[in-house]
Amino acid sequence: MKLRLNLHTKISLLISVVAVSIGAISFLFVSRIMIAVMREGLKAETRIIAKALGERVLRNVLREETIPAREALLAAVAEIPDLEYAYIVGFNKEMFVHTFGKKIPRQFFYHRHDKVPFREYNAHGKLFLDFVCPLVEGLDAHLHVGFNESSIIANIAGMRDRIVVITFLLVLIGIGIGLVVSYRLMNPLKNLSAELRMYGEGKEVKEISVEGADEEVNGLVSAYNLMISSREKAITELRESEEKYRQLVETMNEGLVVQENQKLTYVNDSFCKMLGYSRDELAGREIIALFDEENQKKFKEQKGLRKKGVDAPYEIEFLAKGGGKICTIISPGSLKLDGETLKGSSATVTDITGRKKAEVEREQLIAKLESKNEELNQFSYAVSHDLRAPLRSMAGFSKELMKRSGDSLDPEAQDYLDRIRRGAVRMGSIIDSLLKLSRISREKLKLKTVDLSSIAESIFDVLKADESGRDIEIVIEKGLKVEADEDMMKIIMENLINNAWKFTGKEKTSRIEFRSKKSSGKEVFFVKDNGSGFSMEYADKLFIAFQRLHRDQEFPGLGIGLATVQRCVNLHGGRIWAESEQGKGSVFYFAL
Amino acid sequence: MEKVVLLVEDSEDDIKLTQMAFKENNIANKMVVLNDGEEAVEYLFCQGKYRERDINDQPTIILLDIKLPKLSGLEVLKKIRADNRTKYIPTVMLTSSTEEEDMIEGYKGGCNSYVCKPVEYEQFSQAVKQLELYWVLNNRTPNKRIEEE
Repeated sequence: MKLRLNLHTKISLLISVVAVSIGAISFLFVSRIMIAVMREGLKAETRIIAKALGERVLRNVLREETIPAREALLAAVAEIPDLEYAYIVGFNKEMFVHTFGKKIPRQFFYHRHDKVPFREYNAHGKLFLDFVCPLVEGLDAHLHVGFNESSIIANIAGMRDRIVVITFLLVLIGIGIGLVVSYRLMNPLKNLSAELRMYGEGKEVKEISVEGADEEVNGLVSAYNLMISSREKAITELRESEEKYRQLVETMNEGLVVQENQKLTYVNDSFCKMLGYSRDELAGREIIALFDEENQKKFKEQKGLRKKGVDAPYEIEFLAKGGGKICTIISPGSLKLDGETLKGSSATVTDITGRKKAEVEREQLIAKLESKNEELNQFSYAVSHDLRAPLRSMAGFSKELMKRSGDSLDPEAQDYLDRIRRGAVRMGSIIDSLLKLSRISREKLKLKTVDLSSIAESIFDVLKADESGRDIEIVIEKGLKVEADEDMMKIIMENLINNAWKFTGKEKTSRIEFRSKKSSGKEVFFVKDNGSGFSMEYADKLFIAFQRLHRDQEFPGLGIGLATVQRCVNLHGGRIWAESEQGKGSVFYFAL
Repeated sequence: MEKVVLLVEDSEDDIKLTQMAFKENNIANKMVVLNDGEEAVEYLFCQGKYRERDINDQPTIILLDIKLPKLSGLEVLKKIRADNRTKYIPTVMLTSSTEEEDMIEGYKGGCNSYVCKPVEYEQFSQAVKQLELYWVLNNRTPNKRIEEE
């Protein structure tokens, strides 16, 4: 098993190990030095003691007085602590005196003549430090003193214990400091890591204070702070952009829905308003539940089509909250991001209930208009058919009555009969003219090039043939052509020329012209005569049906000709007007 | 064989006027007057009350009004032209209607002439006279019976 330790533990452990190692090393080092120093001290002390003792016993050795020499040695052993023994080797290299009692340890004699002043050895379970110094330089007589080193070592051991304790304490303090330092070091990192975790989880984070932290940690923290501030900025920008689009979507007139797995995941206000539901009521709802059976079928069909790649808008009826039907056009769309199709789909929903209603109303109006038109047609037909028949009876039978019994009637009665007949005939003409006028409005224009000059010529030909006695000058400008409906042009020309012919009838010599002139870039045709003319005061009444400016006895007429002419001109989008002076003739202009 | 003029007309006045015009112009041909479209069909195809009639004995000319009770003049015309026994009988639409539509339908249905009855009696009388002159006296129709074709 691999042991996983966190950085704090690792650092703490490392510091502890280092402290313990340093403690151990310094302990070993210190204790070694101390032992060496103490030993050197002991050696120096031994040398001094041995020198003093040697000088004191030198005379006794020279005189070979063993007793005082021995007494001096014993006194020294007794007096000096740790001095275990002392002995003197005489000039003859034989033991002179000693302090051993009866048993002299054999080992001592081995080193009697050693030149090495100090020697350590074990005897009787004790560690001895033996020191030898000559009584007289250059002579064989030597003094040996032996110290029991164990007690000194015990001293040293005591001291070592204290060192151990101190070292241990120091190590503990070191570890403590290490832990604190590690904690101080690790804490900002720990905070940073906690913040980073929150950042990763997308939670709200704030900038960390960097005061008092180490440079490296500072670097990390400021990098982190930079990161969160740029994230904040990005989030704000995203929010703003989202808000912008949300408002756009919310305030648009069209309904907008987003669905995923057939369930509504988003609807805008317009859509809610359209159906009368609140947003909560629609959230998560199956879109199909918003249609009646028939429209569900339609919706499914459209879904099938969409799978085949057809996503044209289509009409469908939603069920509103109250059960009412909302006629809409759905324009389906798919959600794409960087060209990748996202899950779910969107659609805009346009309420066309009003439009539909208007359409229906328009259709009704058209139907009404058509039926009115049809009524008018039937009326015209009835007029043409049924009004003329009685007139024919009146005219026919009054004529027959006149023929059979005219002679037995007085002149006045004959005149009455004639008036009845003429009235019937005139009414027949009026009916015919009215029918012609109403028929013109119903006709469609059939445009082609019409030669007005030749139409005028043929009209004059007929007039001249009917009334050959007149002294009349006729001027027709050749080659006047216009793009128009030929039948209507004939009606215009006939009426204008017949009028000119009629109203010049009382002149001795008359003159009628048909010509054209240019007026503000347009070709204007005109029929000019030198006939009776009319007062411009009544010019606005000229083109009103049945409005006449002359009495019938003066110039007979129905008063419908110019109204018909004007209607023909208007149907071409043109204009007709007249200029005249009483008794000096008149000019009728028309431009198409 | 006697030349018969068949007048199909519902208006008493118009019948009278036509008869007056015939008399005035000394037209001696026999005039058969029928008052509606259905009766005209029965007469021509010898059905109903005319079932005893000889189908080979057909009028020289039919003067047909358009606006008639039951079957309209145009419908009667259609039946006349659809049947081999009657399809060559000269048929003139004699009507009050100056409607373009009626004229077109009349000629489409195969009428030989379309005459608008003028209001003025003299003109009416002239029109009747000309019709008689042209269709009864001058015009020729095949004598062969049609079913032999």
